[in-house]
Amino acid sequence: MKFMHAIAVTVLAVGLAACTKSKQVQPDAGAQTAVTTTDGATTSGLGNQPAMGSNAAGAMTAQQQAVAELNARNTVYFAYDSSEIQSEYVPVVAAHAAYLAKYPGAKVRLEGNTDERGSREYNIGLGERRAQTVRKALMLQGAADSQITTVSYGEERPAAEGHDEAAYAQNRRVVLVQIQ
Amino acid sequence: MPAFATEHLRPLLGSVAFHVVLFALLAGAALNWTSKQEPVPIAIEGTVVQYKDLPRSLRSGKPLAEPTPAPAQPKAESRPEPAPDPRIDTEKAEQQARKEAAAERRQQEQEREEKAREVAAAEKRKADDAALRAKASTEAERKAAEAEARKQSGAEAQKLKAAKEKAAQEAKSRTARESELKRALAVEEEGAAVAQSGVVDEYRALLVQTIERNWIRPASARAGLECTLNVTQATGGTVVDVKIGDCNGDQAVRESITNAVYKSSPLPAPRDPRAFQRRLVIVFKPTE
Amino acid sequence: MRSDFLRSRFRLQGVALLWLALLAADPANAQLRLDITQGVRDAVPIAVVPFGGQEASAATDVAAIVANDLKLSGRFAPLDRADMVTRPTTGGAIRFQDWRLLKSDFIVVGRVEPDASGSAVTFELFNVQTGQPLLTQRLTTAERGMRATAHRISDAIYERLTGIPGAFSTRVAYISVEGRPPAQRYRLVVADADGYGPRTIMESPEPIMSPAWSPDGQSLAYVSFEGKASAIYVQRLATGERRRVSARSGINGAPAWSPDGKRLALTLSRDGNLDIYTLDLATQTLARVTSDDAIDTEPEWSADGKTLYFTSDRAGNAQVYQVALDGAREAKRLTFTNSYNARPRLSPDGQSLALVTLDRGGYRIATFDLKTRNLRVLTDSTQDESPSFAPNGAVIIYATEGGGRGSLAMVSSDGQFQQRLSSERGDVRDPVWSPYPRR
Repeated sequence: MKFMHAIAVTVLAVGLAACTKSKQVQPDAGAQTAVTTTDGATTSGLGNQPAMGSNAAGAMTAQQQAVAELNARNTVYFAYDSSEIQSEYVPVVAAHAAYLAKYPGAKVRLEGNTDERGSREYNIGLGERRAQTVRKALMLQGAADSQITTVSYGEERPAAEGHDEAAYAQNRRVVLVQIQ
Repeated sequence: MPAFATEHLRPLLGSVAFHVVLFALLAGAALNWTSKQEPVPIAIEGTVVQYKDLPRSLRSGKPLAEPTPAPAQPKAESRPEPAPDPRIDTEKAEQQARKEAAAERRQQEQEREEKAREVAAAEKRKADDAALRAKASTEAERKAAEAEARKQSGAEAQKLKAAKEKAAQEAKSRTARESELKRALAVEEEGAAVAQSGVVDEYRALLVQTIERNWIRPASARAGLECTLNVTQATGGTVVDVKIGDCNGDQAVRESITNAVYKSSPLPAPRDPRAFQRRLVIVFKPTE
Repeated sequence: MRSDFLRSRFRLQGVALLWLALLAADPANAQLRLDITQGVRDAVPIAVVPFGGQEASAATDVAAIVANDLKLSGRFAPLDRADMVTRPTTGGAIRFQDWRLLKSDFIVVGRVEPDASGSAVTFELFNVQTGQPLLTQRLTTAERGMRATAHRISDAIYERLTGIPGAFSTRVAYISVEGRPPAQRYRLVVADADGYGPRTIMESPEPIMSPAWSPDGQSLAYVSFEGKASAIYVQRLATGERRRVSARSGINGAPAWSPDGKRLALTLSRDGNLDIYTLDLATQTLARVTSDDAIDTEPEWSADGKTLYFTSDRAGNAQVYQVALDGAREAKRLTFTNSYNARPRLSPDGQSLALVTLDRGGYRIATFDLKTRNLRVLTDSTQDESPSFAPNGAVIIYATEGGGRGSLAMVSSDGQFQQRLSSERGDVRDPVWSPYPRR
C-alpha cells in the first residue's frame, strides 16, 4: 500500500510539472497515466486520489482500500476485432461492479483502447464499443448508469510500444479508472 | 444524272481526262513498247535495271558517270545500260557479226569481260533492290523513269556505231548471260522471301524496343493517346528530323515522344542492311 | 528502260510486280512503321544548375529548393551538382551537347540580381535534346520571400513539363508525438510542403487527432483530448486564436469542412453509439445524418456539398459508404473489395477516393475510382493510414511506419512513385495537405 501511495504522489507531481510546460492548453491536474511494468504483463491506472494525499499517516478507509485493490486489477483485455469480455476478465468486471453497487457515490471512468491497426477515428469507435460493453456488464451487476462515464482513446494511448502481436494484445483494453 | 453532269462539267471532264491518261500509262506499261524503238536497232550489250529499283543515292536524275574501264568493284560501275529487244536485234547483229568477227575479236574479248562484270554487278544490285522496292512506284517516278529512258535512248543513238561493233559478243555470251539471269532471278526471289520472312520485322522490333526504353511516359499519356511522329534517319542511324503528325496528346506528351526518339539516336542498325529504311512513321499508342 | 525490263522471261513477273506496286502505292514513298505501346515510368532526368548571383553561403539556395521540390514530386530526378561540369546561368551559355552526355532531358538555369524591391530571380527552362527554350520567367521578391519564389519557380516548371499545376507552394499539417507511454507529448505542427519550417501551433499532454484544413486554408479543425474527453476545436493559424465548437458528452471526432467552409461534418456518440452529424458553425445547429447501431465515422464531403462519404461497419466490417444529406438518407455501400476499407478522402477532381484498405494482410493506401468502382492499391507496407491528396491531385501524403517509428510518405496518385519523408524527432502521423493558398 505504501508503495502505491509513493507512486501516486510521484506521478501526481510529475503530472503537475508537465502541465506547467504546455502552452495553449488547460492542464489537467490528474493527468491520466499508465505505468508499464518491465515484464509488460499488467498495467495499472491511477486516478485522482486527493484523499490519499491528505492521509499521510497511511491509514486508509475501507473504501480507499477497496479502491486500491481494484486499481491493481482494472484492465480488461480483448481479442482482435472483438468487444466481447473474455471469461478470464469477468471477475475483474464483477469486482468493480460490486464496489460501485456498494458505494453509490463512487464513480468509474471506462477508457476504451485499441491496437494501432487500421484508421484512427474508426479505432475511436472500436474503443468506445469495448467501453460500452464493459458499461453494460457493470450495470447488469448493480452499478448505476450515472456512476459510469466512458471515453475512447482509440489507438492514441497505447500501453505498450511496439508493432507486434504482443504489443497489440496489451493495447486492446478497457481500463476501469475509479475516480472520486 | 444529266443535271449533275452539266453542273459539274469541268471537274467531270478533268476527272475523265485524268483517268484516261492514267489508264493509257498503265496500258503502255503493260504492253511491249519495243515497237517504238524498232527503227533504231540498238545492239548494246547491257543489263536493264528499273529506275525504281535503283538505290536512292543514284536516283538523282543527273547523267550517270561512265563506267571506269579498269575492272573495279561493282559499286563503281553504277550506270545501267538499256538493251534492245533481243529477238529482233540479235538476228541483225548476228549477220553483221559474222562479217566483222575476225577483225574485232581482240577488242571484243576485253569488252566482253568488262561487260560481263557489269552484268553481274548490275544483276546483283537489281536483285537486291527489287526485293525492297516492290511497293515503290508512283506516277512521278514512272514519268521520271520514262524521261530518263528517253534521255538514255537519245544518248545511245549516238553510240550506235560502237554498239554494232560489240554485237558479236552478244551472240557468244547470250547463253552465259541467260544463266546468270536465272541466278539473279533466284536471288531476287530469295530477297523478296527474306523481306517477307522477318528481316524487316526484326529491324522493326529492334527500333521499337530502343524507343520504348527511352520513352519516359508522362502521367498524361493514358490509354486513348495516339500520336504519330515522322522521323528521318541518316544511314548510320542518326536522327535527322522529327516531325509531329496527328497527335491528341498534350504538351508534356509531345515533348516526351520527341525526346524519346532523339535520345534513341543513333538508332540501331538492322542485322540485314537491306532492311534499312530512312523514313520512319512512329505511332505512340499506349495500351493502358 | 522500262521496256527492256519487260523482256521475255520477266514480262509477266514485271507486270505483276508493277501492278502490285501501283495498287499498294504509298504516297509517302518507302517508310517503316513502328508501333510504340509502352514506355518506362522513370523519373525524368533534369539538371537544375545553381543560379548565378548566389554565393555558396546564400541564405536561400533557389536551385536547391527547386531541385528538391521536383524530386519530392516523384516525377523528376535532378542531376547531382557534383556531376555538373559547367554551370551556365543563361540560356546562351548552355552547350547542350554536354548535358546530353550527362543524360539530362531538361535543364534549368537562372540568376538572382538585385532589384528595387529586393531581388529579381530569372530562370530559363530548355529541352536538352532539341535545345528548344520552353519557359522563361522573371520574378521579383524581397529577401524573406525568396523561398516562396523558389517554390513558385518549381510550380511553373512542373506545370510546363507535366501539364499538372504544381503544389509546391502549399503546406502540410501533422501530429508529432514524443516520449514514451505514459508520458507522451502531442504537437500539432504546420510546415511547408517540402517539410521546411515546421511550426508547432498547439501542444498537449493529451492526444490530438484528425487535423482538417478549412477550404480557405486559414484555419485548422482538430480533435483534442485536453479536457480528458475528446472535443473539436477550430484554430485560426494567423492569430492562434481558437474556439471549441463541439464538446458534447461522449465522443466528438473526425471533423470535416464542407466545401463552402460553413459547416463541419463530425462524429458524435450520443447513446453510446457513433453517428455522423453536420454542424453549422455560425448557428451551432446540429443535424443528424446516420442513426444506426454500427460505428459510423470519418465523414468526407462530396465536391457539391450534397453527400457525405464515410466509414461504417453496419455490414459487419468497416467499409466506405455514401449518403445524401437531403432526402431519404439511405446510405449506399461503395466498397466491396477486401474486408476493411476506411477513412475516405476525396481527390481534388472529385473522381476518386483515397482510403485505407486491408490488402493481403497489410493496411495500405488505395484509390477508389467513383465511376468504375475499381480499387487500386498504391502502397505495399503494413501500417499505412491517413491518406491526403495534394491540391493538384498528383500526390498523396500518408502516414506509414518505418524503423519502429511513425513517419510520413508520399505516393503518386497512380502508384508509380513512392518516397519516405525524413521525419523530425518523434512519431509523426495524421498528415493533411493544405488547399492552394488563396491569393
